[in-house]
Amino acid sequence: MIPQANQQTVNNMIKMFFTQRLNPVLFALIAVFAMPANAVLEIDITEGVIGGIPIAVVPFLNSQSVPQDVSSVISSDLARSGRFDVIPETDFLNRPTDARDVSFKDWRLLKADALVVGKILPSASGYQVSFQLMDVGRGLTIEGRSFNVPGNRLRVVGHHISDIIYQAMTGKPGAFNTWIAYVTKSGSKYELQIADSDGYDPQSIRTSSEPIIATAWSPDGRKVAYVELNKGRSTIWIQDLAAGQRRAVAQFKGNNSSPAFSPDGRRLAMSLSKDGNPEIYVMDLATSALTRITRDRGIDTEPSWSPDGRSLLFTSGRSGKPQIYKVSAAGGSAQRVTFQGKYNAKASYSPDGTKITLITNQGQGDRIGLLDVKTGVIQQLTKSDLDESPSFALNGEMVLYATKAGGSGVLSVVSDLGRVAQTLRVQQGDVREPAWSPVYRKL
Amino acid sequence: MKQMAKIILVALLAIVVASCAGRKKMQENPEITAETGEGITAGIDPEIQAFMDANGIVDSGRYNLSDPLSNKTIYFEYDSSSLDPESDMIVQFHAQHLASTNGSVVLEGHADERGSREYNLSLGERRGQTVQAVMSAIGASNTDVVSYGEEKPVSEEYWQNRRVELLY
Repeated sequence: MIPQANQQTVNNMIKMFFTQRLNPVLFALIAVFAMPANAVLEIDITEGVIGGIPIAVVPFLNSQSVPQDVSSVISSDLARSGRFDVIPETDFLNRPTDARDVSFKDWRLLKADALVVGKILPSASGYQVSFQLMDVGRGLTIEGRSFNVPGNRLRVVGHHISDIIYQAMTGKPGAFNTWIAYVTKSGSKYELQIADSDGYDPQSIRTSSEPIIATAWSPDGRKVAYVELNKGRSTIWIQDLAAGQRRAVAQFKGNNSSPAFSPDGRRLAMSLSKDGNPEIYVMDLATSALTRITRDRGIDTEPSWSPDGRSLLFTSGRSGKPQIYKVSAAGGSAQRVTFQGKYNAKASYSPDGTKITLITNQGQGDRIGLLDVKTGVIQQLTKSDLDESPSFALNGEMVLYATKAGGSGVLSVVSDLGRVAQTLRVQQGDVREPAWSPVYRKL
Repeated sequence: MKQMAKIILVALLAIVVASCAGRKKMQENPEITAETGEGITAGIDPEIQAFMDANGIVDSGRYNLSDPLSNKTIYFEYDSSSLDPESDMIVQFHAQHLASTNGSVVLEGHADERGSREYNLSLGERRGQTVQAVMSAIGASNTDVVSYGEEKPVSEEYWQNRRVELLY
């Protein structure tokens, strides 16, 4: 939890960031938010959102004097999605905190499509947070809700409100009130952490002096699977987040890697080289029984499940260079899925199964790609060259991935329309191996 | 062809390992190496040099060829787990040494940072297995393969990270 003193600094910096109207032409705005050691230091690098929905979020009543600035959480979330053009506060002609005080012509002047106002008032259990979302063109309130939360849940309710606004304006569910899991490395200390989707409030899940890789969420969001190395041997662990306990599920001879929970949570796909060569297996988590899925001399790894649980995508080097293949979860012959580029790896489906995100190298370095399942065409989403570990948000509209910036490992979020909207890094060391939770946080 | 090379090499190794006379000769006659072309490590045993010439192996500068067993790291090409002829030769020196001393070694595989982390974990293992296979063919079977993938780079230079370390 961020101490209040720091939070004021953070709020001021967020205000500074949003006082400049984002120029549609590409340019970088950098605002640095200092946070306690071991926390995620957030650096916002936002490309101007062309064609985003213009929205104004007026600072909520009392937002500056409560532990977390809820309206700032909302502004940042909406900007991060790559689908909103958040109007800077300095442009505001006035600052209503209730729909009754809104004069719509003021907001039409600013070309806002939508307006958000709200209040944070003390209550018996903490705070009552209420907001109203208005359609500026039609002059109507289209959403209005109120929540009662303790002080340490103010950010969570801010993210939840962002999700409501996102759904109301785009017709699709938001993915802000979610967790991200990732691994930090500082010197020889590796730490698996879970934080809010904007990097705030990180919790340490596992600390090790050996590398941790291949993080994966269970579909109910209660467990995280990961691989921990030990003197060059690898073990797959499943850790229960609430209980803090973990168990080793694969510790065979050779490499044990790439855990992936099935959509029903009952099976774990993995890559094992215990039979001489890395192959895909599916383990029944109740019985530990293994079903071997692939049988060929290439490296087969990085399995991930189709949303219906009936097939797996995986990376295979069987045709020379790594490409993506698809195979039935019961085994059988595999069909190649990627035909563009010289290296394709780490593929996973969007929750609706219409898109696949992956690492793709088409001659310009390792980038995050988006493959249209119907056409098979791969589009490059990023312009960097050392991108890895793409992970869809639960609405399939944003991808969290790892990359390098300024010599350090950082995480970035790119919308499926190709706009990089946020970068997260730690003060010392690297961040990598991100995974976006498939469920929402409870309020 | 490869079989022939191996027989020759084993014979060469027998000469090198069995006597120090060869090395003394190199020190007494430094002009032998001074005459040779650029890129040649000073002090390569003439028999090894002859073997290299006969097999088209060029000194790439990655290995200390005047003391083959001093090389405890074997290097690989990008996204490859096969041994180029020079690297294969270094492995064979170690294999011969292990076989004759009945020694054991851990083969620790690595990869550079490009590509996916999990694929690189397998690539590191595969590189270790390639070295293991060459050693096994020469009779050195006390070998164990482990992999760190891209997790333990030793350099900003990618080629130095594409390696198998021989841990005695």
